Order: sequence, then C-alpha cells, then structure tokens
Amino acid sequence: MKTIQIKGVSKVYGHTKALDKVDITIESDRIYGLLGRNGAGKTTLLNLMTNRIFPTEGEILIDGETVFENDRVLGNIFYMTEKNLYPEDERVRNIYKWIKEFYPSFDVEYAKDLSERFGLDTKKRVKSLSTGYTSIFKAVAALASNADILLLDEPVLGLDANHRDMFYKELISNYSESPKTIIISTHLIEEVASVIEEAIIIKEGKLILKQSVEELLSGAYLVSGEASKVDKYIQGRKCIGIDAIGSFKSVTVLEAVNNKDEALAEELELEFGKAELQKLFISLTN
Amino acid sequence: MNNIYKVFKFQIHDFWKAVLIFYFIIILITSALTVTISVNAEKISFGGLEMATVIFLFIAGLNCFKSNFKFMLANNVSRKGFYIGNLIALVTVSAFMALADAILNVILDNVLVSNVPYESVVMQLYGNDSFFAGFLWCFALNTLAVCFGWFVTMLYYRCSSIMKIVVSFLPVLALTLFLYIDEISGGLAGRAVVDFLNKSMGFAYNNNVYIGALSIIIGSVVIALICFLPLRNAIAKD
Repeated sequence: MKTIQIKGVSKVYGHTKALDKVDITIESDRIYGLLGRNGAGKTTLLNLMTNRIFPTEGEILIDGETVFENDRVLGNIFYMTEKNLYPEDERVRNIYKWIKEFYPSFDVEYAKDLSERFGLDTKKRVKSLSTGYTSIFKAVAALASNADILLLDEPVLGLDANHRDMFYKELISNYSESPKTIIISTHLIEEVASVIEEAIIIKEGKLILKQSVEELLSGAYLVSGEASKVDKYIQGRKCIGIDAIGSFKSVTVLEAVNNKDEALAEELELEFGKAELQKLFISLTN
Repeated sequence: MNNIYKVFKFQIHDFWKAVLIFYFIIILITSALTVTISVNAEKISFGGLEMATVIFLFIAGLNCFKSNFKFMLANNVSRKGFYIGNLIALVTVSAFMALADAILNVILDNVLVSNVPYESVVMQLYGNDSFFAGFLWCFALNTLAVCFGWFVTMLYYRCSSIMKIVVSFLPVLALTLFLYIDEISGGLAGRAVVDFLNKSMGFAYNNNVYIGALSIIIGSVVIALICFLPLRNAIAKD
C-alpha cells in the first residue's frame, strides 16, 4: 500500500499562485491521468510530491510519512521529468547502472531489452540523444525502476506515433505484471484515455475533479446524425463539443442516457456513441 | 545512511579520473624538472607542488555541484543526503591528495632529487619536515579549498543574474573598504589582520604547524556548514 495524501497544498511563486489548497488522496495500484491546461500546476504538483520543490503551505504524505527530505519515502517514487536531469556526458548504459545504485529493484536487463526494442543505443551519451530518444531513455528508466510509485511528466514528448503506441502497451504490460501507482501528466488526452483509470483535473492551481474515467464518461454521451434532428434532440440539454460537417452533426451531451432519450433518438434516427475524454476535459477546463 | 554512501560513491567516481590525470601531469612535470636540474647541475631549487593540488581542488569544488545535484534529484535523493555524501567525498579526496602529496614530497626530497634542494610548502613556511605535519596541514588546506569552491558554485547557482554580478563584485568592494579603513586607521586594520594571520597560522607560536592546521580546519568546518544554506532550498535549474 502506497497511498499518497496531498493535504491543503499551496505553492506560490512571487505573485503567482501555482497551486491553491489542493487536497487529493491517491490510492495505490491505479493509473491516474493528471490533466490540466498549460500552467495549470501539474508539474508543480509532481515536483512537490517528490521534494524537488517545497510547498508554501500544506503537506504531502505517503503512507502517513512526509516526503519532505525523507530518503526512505522518496526511494519508493520514480519521477520521470520533462527536463533532463541526467549527466549529459554519461553513457546511457552507465546511467542505468547508477540508477540501480539508487533503486535496488531497477532491472538493468529489462532496461537493456526495452532500449533495444525502442532502438535506443545505450552506448550513446545522453547529450547525443534526440528529443524523442531522450524521452525514450527516461521512460525506459522509469519502467525498469520497479518503484512503487511512477510519476510520468509528459512521457511521450517528441516520440513518434509508433513509439508512443509501444510505450503505452509496455506501460500496461508492466503495470499488469507488477501493479503500482502510476500518475501520467500529459496533454495528449485521447491517447492516454484508454490507459488511465482515474482522472485528476487541475484548473488554475485548483483541483476541479478526481473521478474514475469510467464514471466520468458514463455521465456523458455522443449523439450524431442529421444536423436539424440533432439540434431538435439537444434542445434544453447541456451540450459541449459540437462538430458539424455538411448536414452531419455530432454533439456531446452532458448527462446519462435514459430510456426516454433512447426512444427520442430512435424516432429522430440519431445514433449514440461514447463521449470523448478530451471533449469533457475541454468543457471542464474552459 | 544508505543514500549517503551512494552519493559518496558517485562523487568519488566523478573525481577519480580527474585526480589520476592531475597526478600524471604532476609526475611528468617533476620528472622533467628533475632531469633538467640533474643535467644542468645548477643551483636551482623547486618546491611547493602541494599548491597545485590546492588549486586543483578549488576547481574540483567548483565543478562538483550542478550536474551531480541534478542527478541526485533525478534519483530522489534528499538535499541532506546529497550534502553529507558530497562532504564526505570531498574530505576523502582532500585526505587522499594530501597523503599522495606527502608521499611525493618524501620521494622528491630524498630519492629523485637528492642532489637538488626540494622543499615542501610546510617546510618553506614552518621549517618543519615532519611527514605527519605536512600531511595534516595540506589536508586542512585541501579541504578548505574544495569546500570553498563548492560554496562559490552553489552561491552562483542560487543567485539570479543581477545577484551574480553583485556577488562577483563583493570581494572587490570588501577589499576597497578594507584598504580605506586601513588608511583612515593609520595602518591599524592591516596590522590587525597580519597579527591575526600570524597567530592563527601558528607563526607567532614558534612556527607551530599544528596551530596553523587547526585554524584551517576550523575555517573548513565553518565553510562546510555554510554550504548547507544555499543547498537547503535548491531546485533543479538549467
């Protein structure tokens, strides 16, 4: 059990309040998506959770113990940052060896195998890696760390579509084999929607939602069909994400479907579909 | 405790190549000097190679922070763990180099250049050729140099661009202010400083090298303790 408790945490930079009294309890062994617009405070929150920066007020506990300057607690977390913190002149394979020193459960063989599968040359120095391969190197280190808590800040930054797909599959396979708490902070919401179990949405430094993706999506649905009929259907309903192409229209309706709705849709020859997480996110953060 | 050892191990790994290269160059220079002096058979003397170590360690101190601190943050090592581990590594390297210098002094003084005068810094300053005294004094000075380098680099790391300029001018300002005070006090300030140095370095007490070493150790401890202040709230920066 590695429960993370974020209690009344605020972080102020000069006149800017990056986080404002955030309270979240993160249960263990689940995959979370930390979502928010640019500057919402996602990276600040991850940095606070790993003692990289310090809260202006509040505290962060893991299994009841503070993370503040606590090597024992921090040793259970592996944080893949967007910024590269690894020595630029060191070779990738040497860094794997050093990570093993700090994370005794780090699986060097698995890291080498993953590197090979991603086409990462471990003989290369960090400074010679492209943006994409720097992300791959950091992602491999995170996956092989075997830490109880993985924090991934923009893990697929600069990765091509194939590598992104490989990464998500490997993440799920890794999680299935050895369940852990994973928090993914990303802007690519649709890509990560099928991976995350729970969404944590932050807006302007405040927590606005923490809910399972399933629950979140069950509270909305997509209705599509002939534009005039869709317009008739959505009258008086709370809608978001209206897409129209010619006479075809699709709209996300923010409510659960009931029998009456189904009957009306059938009468109007409209189709129902699953709501998209990204559309809900846009609606919630606008 | 575990992380302190790991930080120590990483820092030593970071140092050892530079130390090896340094001694390789020192041996090349001393060999060249020995041959030159022996061939020319002139009354030339040389000494004080330990000061090269002091300069090397000051520069090593300047370079021991930024990249390593970021790597420790990447591995979720606390600042306290990094501080203690790094400090132990710096003291260990200082001790190792002081020992290497003391051994080199014995070799240069007695074996290689027996026909040429060679004097270590401690011999030149205190007239003391004791192996232990030489080692202790050099160890103290090495530690002071490396800790000072570490402190300077952390101070610059924490400062904003404007503060970096201010910090850079502070020694010049302090010196100017001191010279002004010295002038208006009729040389009293200057004499006080010389008197303080004479006493603290042990020159006033029959050239006591141990008093000098103790004073430098106290200075090193003070700087080492101050080093934690800029590190305490340091964050990863580019």
